[in-house]
Amino acid sequence: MLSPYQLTEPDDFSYEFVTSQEVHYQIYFLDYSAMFVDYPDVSKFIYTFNIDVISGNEKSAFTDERIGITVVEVFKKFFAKIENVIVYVCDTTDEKHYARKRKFDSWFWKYNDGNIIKEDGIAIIEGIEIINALLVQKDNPKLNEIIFAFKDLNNKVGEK
Amino acid sequence: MEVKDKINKTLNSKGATIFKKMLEDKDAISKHLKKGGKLSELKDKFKFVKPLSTN
Repeated sequence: MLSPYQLTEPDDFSYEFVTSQEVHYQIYFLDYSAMFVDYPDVSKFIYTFNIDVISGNEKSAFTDERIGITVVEVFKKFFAKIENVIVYVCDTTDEKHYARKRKFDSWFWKYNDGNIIKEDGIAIIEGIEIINALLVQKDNPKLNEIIFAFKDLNNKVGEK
Repeated sequence: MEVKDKINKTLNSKGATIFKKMLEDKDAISKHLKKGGKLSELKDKFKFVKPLSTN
């Protein structure tokens, strides 16, 4: 049975872990509640999540299953507070966003114990598709409102 | 139909501003970290939080 990597807290802003291949990952959350004011029922606990490689060879870690287990472990701790919600976007700067999405999705479906619900979206911004997703605890008391708001944000202006 | 598709592709999503901001923030922070920068140097620009339960 594989175990997650040890999560450390190097500062007041992030979490880190180092893989057996010496790849150093940094995880951080940003509070975006203020940007969801049009959806007052759901706007209190909305965060985005990012993970960055800060040193080491990312390619060497591509097949390391413990990274996915560690990320899902982070989510489990995050969703210990039932009201918490994650909305995230996939990086499109290097055209590898579909590969990243597939990797992330494979981790999610493999290691999620069913307590976290994921909704995928594609937003259109000035003709460009931005892949995004919602993660929410299945017992969140505002589950339906949150999913509705997320889908609404991905709808085009004028759509219902 | 083709004209309708073209028009639809030029319309932004309702959350375009939010998603665009998220993407810009993510890119800016990622570039900063890749240059060896620290998140603490960006603390006045972005609202970093630590929401993980330690229990």
